[in-house]
Amino acid sequence: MRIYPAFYTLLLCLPVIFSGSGCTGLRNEVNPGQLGLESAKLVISGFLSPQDTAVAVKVTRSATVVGDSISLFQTGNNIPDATVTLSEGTRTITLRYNNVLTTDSTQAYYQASTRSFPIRVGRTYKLMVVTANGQQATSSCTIPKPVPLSGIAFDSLTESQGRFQSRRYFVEVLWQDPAAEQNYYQVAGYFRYTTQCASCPVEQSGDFPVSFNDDNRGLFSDVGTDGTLKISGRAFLTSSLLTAEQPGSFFSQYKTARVTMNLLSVDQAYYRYQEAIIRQRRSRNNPFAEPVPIPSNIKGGLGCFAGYNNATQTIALK
Amino acid sequence: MRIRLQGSLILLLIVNTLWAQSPSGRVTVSGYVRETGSQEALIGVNVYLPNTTTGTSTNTYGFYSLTLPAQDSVELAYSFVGYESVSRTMSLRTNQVVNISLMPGRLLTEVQVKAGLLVDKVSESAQMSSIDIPISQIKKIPAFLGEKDVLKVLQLMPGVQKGSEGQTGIYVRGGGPDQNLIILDDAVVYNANHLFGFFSVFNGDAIKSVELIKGGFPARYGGRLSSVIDLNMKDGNREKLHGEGGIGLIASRLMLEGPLTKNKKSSFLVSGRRTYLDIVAAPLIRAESGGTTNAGYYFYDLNAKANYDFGPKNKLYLSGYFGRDRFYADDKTESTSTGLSWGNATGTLRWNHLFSQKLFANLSLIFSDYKFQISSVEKSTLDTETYSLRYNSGIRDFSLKYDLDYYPAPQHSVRLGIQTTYHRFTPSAVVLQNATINQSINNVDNIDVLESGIYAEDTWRPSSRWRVNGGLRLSYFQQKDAGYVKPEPRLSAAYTLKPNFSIKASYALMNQYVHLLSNTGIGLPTDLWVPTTDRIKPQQSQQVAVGIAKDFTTANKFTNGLTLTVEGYYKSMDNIINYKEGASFLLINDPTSANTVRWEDNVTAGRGWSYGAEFLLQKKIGRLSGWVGYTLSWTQWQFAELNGGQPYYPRYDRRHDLSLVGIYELNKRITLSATWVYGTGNALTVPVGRYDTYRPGNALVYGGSTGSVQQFFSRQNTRTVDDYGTQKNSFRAEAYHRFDFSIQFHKQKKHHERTWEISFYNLYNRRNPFFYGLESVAATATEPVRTALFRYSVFPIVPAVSYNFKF
Repeated sequence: MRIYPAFYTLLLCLPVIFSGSGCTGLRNEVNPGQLGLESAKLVISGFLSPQDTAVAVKVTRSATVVGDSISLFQTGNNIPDATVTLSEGTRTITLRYNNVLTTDSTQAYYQASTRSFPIRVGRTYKLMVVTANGQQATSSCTIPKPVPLSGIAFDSLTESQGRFQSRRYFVEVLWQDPAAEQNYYQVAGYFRYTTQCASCPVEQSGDFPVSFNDDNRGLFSDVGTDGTLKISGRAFLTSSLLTAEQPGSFFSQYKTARVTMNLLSVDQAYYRYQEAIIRQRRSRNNPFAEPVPIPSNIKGGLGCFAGYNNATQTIALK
Repeated sequence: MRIRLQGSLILLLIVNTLWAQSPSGRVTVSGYVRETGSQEALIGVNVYLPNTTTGTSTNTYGFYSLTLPAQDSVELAYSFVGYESVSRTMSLRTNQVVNISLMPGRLLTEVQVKAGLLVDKVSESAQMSSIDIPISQIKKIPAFLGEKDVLKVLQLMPGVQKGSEGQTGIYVRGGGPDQNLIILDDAVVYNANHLFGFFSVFNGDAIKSVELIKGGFPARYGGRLSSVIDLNMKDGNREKLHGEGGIGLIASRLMLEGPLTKNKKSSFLVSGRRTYLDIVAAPLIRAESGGTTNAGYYFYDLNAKANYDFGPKNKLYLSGYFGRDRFYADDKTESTSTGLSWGNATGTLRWNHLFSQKLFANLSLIFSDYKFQISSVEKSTLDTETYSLRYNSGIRDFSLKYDLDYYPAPQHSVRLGIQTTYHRFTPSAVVLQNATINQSINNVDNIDVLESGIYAEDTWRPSSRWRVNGGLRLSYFQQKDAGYVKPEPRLSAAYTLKPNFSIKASYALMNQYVHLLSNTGIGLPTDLWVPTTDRIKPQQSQQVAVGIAKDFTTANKFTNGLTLTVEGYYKSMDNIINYKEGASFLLINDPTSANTVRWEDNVTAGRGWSYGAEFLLQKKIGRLSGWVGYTLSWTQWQFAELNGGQPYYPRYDRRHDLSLVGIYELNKRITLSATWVYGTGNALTVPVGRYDTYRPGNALVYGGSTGSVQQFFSRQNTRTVDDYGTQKNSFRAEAYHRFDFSIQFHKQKKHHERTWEISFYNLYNRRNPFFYGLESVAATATEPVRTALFRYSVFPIVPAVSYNFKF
């Protein structure tokens, strides 16, 4: 990629060549009123799971050029005064606004306990969000069946990193895809350890999320592989590099090392949403890439309301 | 190959026996029509019996043949736009060879057109949806930086649209720039752009004629869906040495033509052009970088042609084009040098042979090559670490083409032919040496394919009111296991309702076996030609068009010579390809990437359709000439994998497109010209908003008061994404409009004629959109942080001055 920056610069500086004006001299702010752009939309995010102890829905507004010009990560994007109701069959519950951290309302969401409103496999849940100014968004989702993990494989590889060689450790999750149905998965997990080293005075412990090197960051569909034994991409355990001069150093470093992997059986809406996000973010800084729109199953808004079912397995590496 | 050639000869024999049955009582007149002085062959000259519709026109080599009933005396007229008409009275008792010279009008104004005289009448031809513009007119129309450009003038015609600001990319009736068959002396030009499309590769000095066909394609053309742009280079002056040249702000050019031998049987032409931005900018760049950086950009073109007459029956033509764009940057402190270069090379060897007065043959050997190259070299003075990367992509063709023109009777002009092309596609060839990690890659990925076509067509005039061009082309394509044979029927017909007024209709089926991967629409040199494979099917289009054509031949000087055409069309396109969402050339062809990504995995096929109406009122002659063109059109695409499978408007869907072009000869010394264009804004996918999305944390721990929700909604699992609105390309850019103006001062000097030209591109400084971006604007004392939409324009008003000469 050493050449392309020069290429972009040349392209963007063409006006300089021709007119002597600066590279940004022909950049003008457009009055959005003339362009028929839409105003801010409701953004709904909610992921329901039978394993969870709470149902939670986040209600925000998109930042647009029209209207109130609220930038991201500002408290104003959260909508604290909406009415959020969840229903299943004849049961209905209104979710309560929960500002988890009073210092940072970006973390706030609407929630209810699953004790009073349990989430069950195969049931369809309907969501309705009405804001104080009458904006409305609805969606629904059905909770998928769980798919158990068949196993977790532990392995390592040697990689060239610049002029160095390093050994990296990873796990792969295996599971049996149920045949004759569409299935979608999200794999997640973390590595928990306590260190052991002769020269270290204090024992250290920590949780490290695993990091995937496959294209979709642990997101899979069974298209083309229906009913087969599936293997996740490599989920690397640590991001720190171990040099080749320390063979076998992985096990000698830890007193305890365990990895916990989650296999989330997700619905199609979740898969299409997350997959598009990954693709969009991968190409968003490339002005020549075909833009990736993010699909949404929210009527009257953006975002995703999806069900998932979690299966977990933990293995001890030491 | 041999089987096909024999097939075409058998077909010819059948045709021959059909019309050769009553040779008695018929006499053939044939010959060449040339320009007086230069002896340049003239293409498309009308040769006819005055006050009748019996006639023919000269072919690409200036040859005509007309077979008439024997008679004591007959008057034949020869007429061509921009030339004085000539008529000859002759006795028609035996076959005759009549070569004619036509005198060019020094200016188009000087040509006297008598009312009722047939001069290239649009209502008289069977062909519809075709555009030809005299090169002399092209040289008077205002041009960006004074660089006259054939393709940009074609963009001013109805049904032909430009893409983005300043680009030479041509969109014909909803088709993309890859769907145009651009041929220069029979050779396909794969990338007709210089400098990212701001200039075309065609240097007007070397071009004799240009014709663009938008629909109702004759069977002799094939291989693209949407248009044929047929350019012919000048042969060169056979009488004496002539030259033409110009000095402009960014480029200079020189053309020389003249006889090769004293017997006036041969001539040559050479023409060159080079930009000198790099020379001007080099000291500035060096100064700015403190003497460490050397960088620049230039392009050049070379055209050359030579021909020789081996007598009345055999002629040989050799022509070629070579052009390169080059961008380079050398940094002395980092010991790096980077280069980009791209360009076309074409070569054509043609042999004309006259079998008889009625049968004209041409054999062409054609070479065409387009190459894009990147090189990057790094050296470190501390140790011997070096890094060198050479990447190239391209396409190379060798073609053999054989065409026969047969004129059995005045009612028929038959053309038969065969063409076969051996393509070598190089989607990517990488040679990488990296001493640091001891890496050495040598990946060359060539794909060889064979594409062939055989055709027969007849222009038939069954009665004085009807003219029909019917034909069939059989196209054949073979790549490894994927083989296709596809018939392509073509038909166009014209019916004269009353004198100078006819209605026309046409149908054409076209197949395209080569595809251009381009996701910018800007015409970057990185756009990649790829073949049809077992996974990527050939593109196909079907088009129907109906229209009227009207010629005004009145005594009124202003309206005489006006032509009006109105056409409606519907075109469907199947198996057109586009990049998948998120894919781009840079992802596919990042030569340093460890994973090689196949281009076939990054494209998706779909269909499209386009319909519209076109209106053209044109005047090629007179003191005031020019045209008014208006297009109303709709284009939609539908791809299963794009826009959720829903139809959408592609980027260059344009509801309204209007061009006004005027050239006014104020007097012999001053020519004024102006153009105004208006077009609906492009359909773009622009981020209209931004929002946060959430994904699960990698540690899903359930329980506690907040359950797992914090793992979804925590700051580190938040991803900000762009909202592109409800549909792909649902954003309409602001309308494009622009006014250009130029004034030329001509003066005849002792040994040459000179022209000063002053021109203004975008005279009223309209900020036309090139692209849009959604950006954050930092907080100020009075305003908080906010998002805003920015329009990026490319060209403000651009004045230019140039000096041109001719001797």
